Amino acid sequence: MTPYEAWYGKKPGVKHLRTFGCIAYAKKTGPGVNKLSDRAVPGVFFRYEPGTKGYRIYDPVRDKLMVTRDVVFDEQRAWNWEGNDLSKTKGGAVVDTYSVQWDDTIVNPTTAPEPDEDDSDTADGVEPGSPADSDSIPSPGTPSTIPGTPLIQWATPPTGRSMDSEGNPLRYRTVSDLLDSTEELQDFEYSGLCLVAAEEPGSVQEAMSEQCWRQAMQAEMQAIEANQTWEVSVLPPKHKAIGLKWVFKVKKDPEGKVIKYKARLVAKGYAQRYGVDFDEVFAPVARIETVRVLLALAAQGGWEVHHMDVKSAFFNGDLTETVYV
Amino acid sequence: MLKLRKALYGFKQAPRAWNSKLDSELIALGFVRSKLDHAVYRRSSKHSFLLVGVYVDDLIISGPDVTDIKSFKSEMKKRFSMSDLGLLSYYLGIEVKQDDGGITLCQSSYAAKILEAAGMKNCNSCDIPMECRLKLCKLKDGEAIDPTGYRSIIGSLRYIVNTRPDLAYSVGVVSRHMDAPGRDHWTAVKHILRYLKGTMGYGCRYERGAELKPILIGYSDSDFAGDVDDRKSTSGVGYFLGSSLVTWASQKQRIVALSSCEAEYVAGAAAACQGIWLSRLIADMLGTKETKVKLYMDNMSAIALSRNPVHHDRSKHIDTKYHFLRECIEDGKEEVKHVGTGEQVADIFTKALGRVKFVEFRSALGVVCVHQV
Repeated sequence: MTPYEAWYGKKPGVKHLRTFGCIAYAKKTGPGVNKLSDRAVPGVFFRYEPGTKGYRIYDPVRDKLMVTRDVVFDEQRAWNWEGNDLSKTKGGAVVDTYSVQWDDTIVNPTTAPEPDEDDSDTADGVEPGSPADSDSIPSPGTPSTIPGTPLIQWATPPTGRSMDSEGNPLRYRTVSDLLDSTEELQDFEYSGLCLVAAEEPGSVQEAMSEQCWRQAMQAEMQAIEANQTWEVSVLPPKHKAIGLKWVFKVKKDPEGKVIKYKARLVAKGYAQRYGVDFDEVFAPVARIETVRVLLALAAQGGWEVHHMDVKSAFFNGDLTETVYV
Repeated sequence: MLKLRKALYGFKQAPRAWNSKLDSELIALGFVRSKLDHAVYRRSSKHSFLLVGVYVDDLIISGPDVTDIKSFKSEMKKRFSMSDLGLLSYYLGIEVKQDDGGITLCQSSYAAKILEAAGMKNCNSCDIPMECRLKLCKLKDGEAIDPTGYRSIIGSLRYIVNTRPDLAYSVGVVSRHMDAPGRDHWTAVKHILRYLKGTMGYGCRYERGAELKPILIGYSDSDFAGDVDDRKSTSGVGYFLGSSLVTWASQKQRIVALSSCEAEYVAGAAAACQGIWLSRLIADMLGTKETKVKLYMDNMSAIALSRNPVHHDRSKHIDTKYHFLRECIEDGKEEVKHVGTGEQVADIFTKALGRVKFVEFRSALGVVCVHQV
């Protein structure tokens, strides 16, 4: 009998115990997870985290440790430390490509065609890997023996599960199938504009990989340093730091030609709390009526009206509050 | 961790921090901030003066002496990293042109943008923004339309009124129905857009005078019970500085006027408020004394009511605040004069006029084609 059992009168639960070093899939949370991205990261079960109900997972690819409760374990397998190639350790189904002769033009996989004599042809027509021999589309109901029937690629073999409620095979389209129908851009200059210039990078990593954005970020950092915007210090206890992020913007002229790549380091002002990180925020701006009065006076007196712009104006403002980033 | 000494973009107090920095720098340069608009600064020197208007990081600089402007620019360049954009040509979406004859303001590229957004880039143009004597009423049982698209177009149109006083009334009327727009309202908006299509290059023109004579002339007018739903009237106010129209308003009154005299009196009170501010602002900018504002009205009984403190059965219910005009006249700040309906240009801010009258008043307001599109 263990002391635990003697005290509580029952055996301790061991349901949460897992095989050390097995593959563990930790759920991805937070921003950056979109509809089509992987829901979990594979890692190695490392240890139990004291004080929480979570597990500590080591991700050898990113060389990171994480603590999470949302884990799916695969205790049968261990990480392949030699090749770091997950596909070798993965068992599972190997995706076979099947091609099926199909004589219906409906593309929507949920819409089943009328069950007719062609169904038997379809079942017979399963030929793994046979290439498409033509691209013309016959009208519905035409027997598939006629040459010119399009081939539909199957991502999964048409087993029992790939039948829909009416007994017709479900159809799929593979990525290569879709890509084949898109044309490659021939106009190099135009495509270059599309892929490089007109796009704003989604992350700093992406921006760092391009010369133009790197220069823009350097210029911004120089402006910050020239203004002596900050000093390195230690965050006092009970203080919260405000996050920073980069914002990238391509400036274009009215014809759509790129004038400037602009990078701006901004603070996440939404995390600021009233009375702690800021007090008064009102700043006056000129009324449009005042501007018109000024211009009308200038017109009447024949004065010249000049225009000036302060570069990176907000870096000049002195902060009265103590704020850390 | 980094401790901040200066503001960064994104901070809630960043605009304020910048503004107070700029404020202290300008005051160190000998400027005085105007009390009537806190974004206007003035520096007087022996023979001349310099005016600076601030819009966040945009400065517009003007004054009689060009060398003064130049020296101010170099002083600012020492203090901040500035980009000198030369003569003002584009400010807050307004295209400004300066030549020997005066200054013109227009928003032709913004107008093109609105038409593009509304999908009316290639529509046919028309002569007036709103059908003559059109009365729009609340949506009752007709077909409702998507309010979001309606509101966004109205929002854009409201900005273009900044240089287009001829659109003030029609845009004001369609914006009253932003809560529940219907098919009829959308038709009225399309009418405005078609008018805009024909007058994209129109804008305000400020003529150069022989000498600087800052005389303020105001016009105030009102319709009577123009709104078919609640029978409230619309005030129209326009102020000219010499020959240049500087401010205008077309606004539904807050009260139901019992007579056309009362409606005009309420419009006159609104005009008095605007006139006093303008006269003070101009006096402050030029460093002169406030001048008497001339206000033209076309209703004799309203003028009589404002000149004499008569107490009459028909006017005894008028709220005290609307007697502001009377007080201004007593203090000698304003002067009310009569003008015939034919010359009452504020008429354009109170009702949908027919083509002939509309075009006449539009040119009287100084709205002309300033930019060939």
